Amino acid sequence: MQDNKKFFLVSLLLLCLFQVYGQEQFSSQPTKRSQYSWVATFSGGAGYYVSNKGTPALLSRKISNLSHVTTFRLMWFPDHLLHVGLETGHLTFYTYSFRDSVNTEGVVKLKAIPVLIEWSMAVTKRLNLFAGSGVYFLTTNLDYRGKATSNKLSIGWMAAGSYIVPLSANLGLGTELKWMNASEASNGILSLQAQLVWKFLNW
Amino acid sequence: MKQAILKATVALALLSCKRDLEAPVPSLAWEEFTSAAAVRLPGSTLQRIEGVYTLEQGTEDFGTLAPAKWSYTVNGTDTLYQLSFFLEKQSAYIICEGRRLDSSILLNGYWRRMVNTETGRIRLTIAKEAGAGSLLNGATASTSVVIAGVYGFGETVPDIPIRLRYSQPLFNATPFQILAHRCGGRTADLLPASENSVEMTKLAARFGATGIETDVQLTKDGVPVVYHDATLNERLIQKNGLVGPVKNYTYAQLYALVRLTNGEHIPTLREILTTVLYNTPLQFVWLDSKYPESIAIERQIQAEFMQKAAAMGRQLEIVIGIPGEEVMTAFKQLPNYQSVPSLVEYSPEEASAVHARVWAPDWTLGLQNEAVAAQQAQGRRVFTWTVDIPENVQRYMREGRFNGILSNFPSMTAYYYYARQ
Amino acid sequence: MKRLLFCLPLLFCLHSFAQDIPIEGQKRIFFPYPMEKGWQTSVGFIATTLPLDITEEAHFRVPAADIHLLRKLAGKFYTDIRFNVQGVQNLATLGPRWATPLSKRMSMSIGNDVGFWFGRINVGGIKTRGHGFQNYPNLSVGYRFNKRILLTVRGEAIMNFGVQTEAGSTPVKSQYRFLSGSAYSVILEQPFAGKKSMTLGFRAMYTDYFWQTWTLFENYDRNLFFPQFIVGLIL
Repeated sequence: MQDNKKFFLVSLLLLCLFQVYGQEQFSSQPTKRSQYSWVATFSGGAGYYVSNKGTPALLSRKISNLSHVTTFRLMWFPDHLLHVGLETGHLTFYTYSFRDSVNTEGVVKLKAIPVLIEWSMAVTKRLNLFAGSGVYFLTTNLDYRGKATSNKLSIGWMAAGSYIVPLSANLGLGTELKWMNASEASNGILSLQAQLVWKFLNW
Repeated sequence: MKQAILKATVALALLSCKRDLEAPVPSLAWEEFTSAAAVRLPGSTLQRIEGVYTLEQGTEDFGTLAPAKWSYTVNGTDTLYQLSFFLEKQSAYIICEGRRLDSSILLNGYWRRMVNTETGRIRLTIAKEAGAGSLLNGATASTSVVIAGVYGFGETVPDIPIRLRYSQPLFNATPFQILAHRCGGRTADLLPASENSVEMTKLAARFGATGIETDVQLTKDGVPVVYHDATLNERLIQKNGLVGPVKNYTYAQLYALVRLTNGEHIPTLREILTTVLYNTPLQFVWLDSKYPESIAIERQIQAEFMQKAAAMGRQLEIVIGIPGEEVMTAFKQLPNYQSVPSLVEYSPEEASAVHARVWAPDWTLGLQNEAVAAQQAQGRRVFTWTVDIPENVQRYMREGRFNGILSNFPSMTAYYYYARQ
Repeated sequence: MKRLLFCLPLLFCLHSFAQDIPIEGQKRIFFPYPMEKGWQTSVGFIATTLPLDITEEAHFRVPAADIHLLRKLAGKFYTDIRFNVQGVQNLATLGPRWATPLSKRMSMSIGNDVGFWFGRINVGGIKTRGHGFQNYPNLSVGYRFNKRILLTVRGEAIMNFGVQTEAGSTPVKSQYRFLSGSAYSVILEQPFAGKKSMTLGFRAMYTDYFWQTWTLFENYDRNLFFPQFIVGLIL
């Protein structure tokens, strides 16, 4: 009798766990066939430009590799593991200040707005891998013997991994490690972002 | 098995990278050549060595004929003379300096295949009994002149025999302009200097060019600079955080922050023309005017340098290149534009209308022999551009009526021109 | 006995998260495996980043529509038919494949595709025309992961021959080597939406002659790097 009681209690506990687990929580993977959704991700964090390339070594320069990375992603989640979407945002690749041979100071800032088509795969319910390609709208802000602002379109790509903790059925909080590289920017930026993920449309 | 797949994928990812190529000029160290006893050869001696040579050894790497032409580069008070050989196989060339050692002539230099990155060292000798004696005494080259030596690949010490025998003078029956693109060659061709730079201009004559084409545009503060692309980009400059059009920056900003791929500054038009006039034997400069706003100042600088050349007794023709209607409209605003030396790329009728010195159609439009003859009947020369494939250069020389060819490989054009019978 | 019967559904729930799905019925276009049914079709695009050595300032990715068909022949043989379409210039390739499983999850194929490209472009009022032939012997190895994810690694040799180009009526010569280079691809295929699957791939091509750049008449005798992204919807 005692053994049976124990058995039922353990089974009940397992069932409760499954029940909790089975309660609908935000998931990157589809929980049933023919489930489609649109998901928006708002991310913000810091990025690190991984080298000193792209800043002329001939000038005595001070480089600021750390900067902000803010992005917005809109993805379509069909009823399998692969998702597709668009990402945009704003980031600064790097800033450096310098002095020329007659001690005149200057500052160069290289900023970008990415527009990337991305695919992601939900490796688990919470872990996603991303890869994408597209363009970066680059902007130089130069302040040296006068100011200059100049823009250029550059091709580029990205890769990322994110981990999302569900808050509810349609909301999740996540963290993402992301690599963004524009061809004209010499090297890429590695960023760590916190993100709010919102599944705003389901059908 | 899964591990093998993963390893293959990683290997593929590593392999799937752009490989940076280079073709550095090899070391030219040769003890005999740099010994105190070896005296630098005057330009007149190198000029007497000029001619078309037949290869008796080394044909498998360089072909059968090697036209040789001398040139010079002035650096301050020092003038460096070179002898260049132009070779058929893979548009190769040899560039040597010359020294006299007792009664023999030493030629030390390197060779390069233009179409790829193969290069190597070369050491040549003209022995006294092989013609050096008479050359040094003032005679011109004859069939008794034999140049013998060794060459190698890369940095290896040369040890492959090569022998060349003089066969005929350089062809010069009809005048012909051998024009080098972008002051001498493209950055992508991995030459010792970046395109459209002062350093490249100094090399152009060694590559066989008699003239150069160069690209002109204005900075934000109206300084005419020589630079091909509209924007600062990874193709031409060392990345520095500056992007976008050249015209968004002043000259001071570009001078301080921008370095071309091989480390040079973006030159001004004046710097290029100063180099052409004072440092090289080049006789023709084609100013490819990218934008209409640069025409007025180009005209001023063109006039200034042509006057300087005339005062020096130096043959130098500088033409303003007109690639299209927009620049043509600006050109026609110049006072007495019909007397301004110009080159029109697109329309023979417009070339006639502005009394251009040269009509220069794109080579892909074909031989156009009738149109070319009509222009020449008006006293106009006709060049074509930009021809890089050897069979096309040969054909255009043999079957066409052009007065000049613009090429990224002027050594190849030089080969087909000078080696003609 | 009652406990065992009670536990079975629990065990089933746990097991269902690691279920292996057989290859048969999985849609694939690159994955090397003998076909079950007659036809398989994919439509998408292939975007090539042309090297700066050739395009100079215009550094961009050039897309071509990619229509890819497989037709089962007999046994382990099938035919690969492909069209890359840009309008002014297009490529068609056709070739046999022989595919075989190597293990429960690994398989391979060998094949040889013959290609024909042609282009008609107006240059300054002059009709420039060109065409040429290509040959791509190829070898693919595939690995089937759980959850219908198919990974293919593929190597190809690139051969060019019979290139003829002309400006108006003037023949103009193009420079290239017969054995022009090679290409290496990594391709993932998996279900995407409903019954459709998606191909995502990266192809690294090293060649001294790429058919899409025939109008540039480049003279390089070195293998330039052309990265390509392949995206396809397997219908």
